[in-house]
Amino acid sequence: MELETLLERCRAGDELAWEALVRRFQGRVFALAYHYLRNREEARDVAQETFIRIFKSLDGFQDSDRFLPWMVRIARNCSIDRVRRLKVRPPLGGDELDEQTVGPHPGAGPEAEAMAGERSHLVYRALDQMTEINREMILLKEIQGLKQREIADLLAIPLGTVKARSNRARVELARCIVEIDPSYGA
Amino acid sequence: MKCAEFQECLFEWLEGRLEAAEIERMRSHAAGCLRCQELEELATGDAGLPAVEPPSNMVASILAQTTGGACDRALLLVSERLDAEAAGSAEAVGSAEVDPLLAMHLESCVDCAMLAGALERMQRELPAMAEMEPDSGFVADVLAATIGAAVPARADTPVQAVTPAPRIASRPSFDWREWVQSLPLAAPAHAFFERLAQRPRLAFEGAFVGTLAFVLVIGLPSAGVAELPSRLIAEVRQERLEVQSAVAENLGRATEAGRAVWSTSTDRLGERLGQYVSFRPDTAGTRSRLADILGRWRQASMEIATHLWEGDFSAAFARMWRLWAAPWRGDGNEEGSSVSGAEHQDSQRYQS
Repeated sequence: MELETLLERCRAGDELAWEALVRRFQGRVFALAYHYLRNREEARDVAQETFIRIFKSLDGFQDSDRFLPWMVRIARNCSIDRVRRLKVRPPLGGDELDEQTVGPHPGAGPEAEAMAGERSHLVYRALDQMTEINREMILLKEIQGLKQREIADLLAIPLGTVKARSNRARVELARCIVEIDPSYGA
Repeated sequence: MKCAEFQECLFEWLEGRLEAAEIERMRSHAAGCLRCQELEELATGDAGLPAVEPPSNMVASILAQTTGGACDRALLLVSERLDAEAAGSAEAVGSAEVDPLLAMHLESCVDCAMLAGALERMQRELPAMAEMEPDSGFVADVLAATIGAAVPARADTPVQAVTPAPRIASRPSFDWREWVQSLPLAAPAHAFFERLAQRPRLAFEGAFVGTLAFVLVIGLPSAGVAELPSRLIAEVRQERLEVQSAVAENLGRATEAGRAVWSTSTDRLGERLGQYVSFRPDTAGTRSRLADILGRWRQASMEIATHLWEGDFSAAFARMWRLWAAPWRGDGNEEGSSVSGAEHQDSQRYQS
């Protein structure tokens, strides 16, 4: 079902539509929260809080084209609030990762899951070596696929800064990954 | 063809940019001109000179002393090209001349070739990390927390009764949020205040609020002395006073004003704190003891300030030492007279 129709039915009070919306975006919201918190339980709480906030503000949200950046903004705010509240570490600073915690959908098969988990583990280790703003740039642009204009609005920085910084962040991540695993770029 | 024209066209010939007629003209000229023939042999490498390979690090050395290397530029171009490809743009980043140069750099620079490969692989693999599956009961918990629906819970736990939450359809007919959001400029105002709330200036704001509270409670510390410099300048300009006497007189005023400000500030602070203490739901004995301690602190701070103002640092430090050693007591000289036996026991208890 089209997202616009789904949102329309959610606003009209259709509980099935709301359930479908949660099912459709749960993976993305959970992954976002996990990127900031690096803890499954905390990420689960934050993802749930994000959906509750979305539910409460859904009536005032009209533009379905901007739903993804809007949702990412809410998830990011919730995650940063939680990180500040926990006062544990900066975003993406991290615990030792469990390879089973990261990866694609479970339906991808055990071998594919294991390979994807290994790759994600490598990327997370490389992300840990980057600056916070570059990590966030990678998360929003390369992983979540937001447009540069949307990132500029979200982070309240000029579009030109996003353009310049996103390329630098990507090159920095490539350097970090190759430093950890030289065979990655071969 | 003359020799000058031959020399001008020589490199175009070698690069294959001349037409057959032009090449024939040049050949006929070289056949008849020994100097141009030697020049052609030198340029084409047919002169029999031994081929010399430049040192392998020569290019890197020259670049290090001039532009500093082109690796960063090359990698940025690779990144931008990947962006353009992902956006489906037909024109590759840069002009047509850039791509061969980039390819040449990637062929000669092993590190950049490896990083370019990593960038391309990242482009393919990173989007797969956008989603992660939470546990199976996540959707059920979210639905229970929002619409209160008892949907099938996770497999390993029984379905639990959930507290009914307000359903979407049962909202009141008039929603003030909708009304506020329908106002013009509501969305920009909301975005503005959201950005305002997210900005990392908490420390500055805390300092501002603290200063504001201090000024509201105690008043401006410089109020008594603020007008002294301008008054001094005005008096000297009007030549009513000699400069030295004016300075001396106003320094005296400043001293008095400073003392008055300090005294007023500490009195007000003590008064406010005393008021605060009096509101605490403690016993009367504790209140009187705290008020007594505050009074002693005020007295001690006045004495220290007076000593400092008069330049008697040894006396000031001695008073500070006594205050630090026994903060709940007054001056050590009047220790015995001001603290009763019961209070002394209390003091010992506080100290322990």
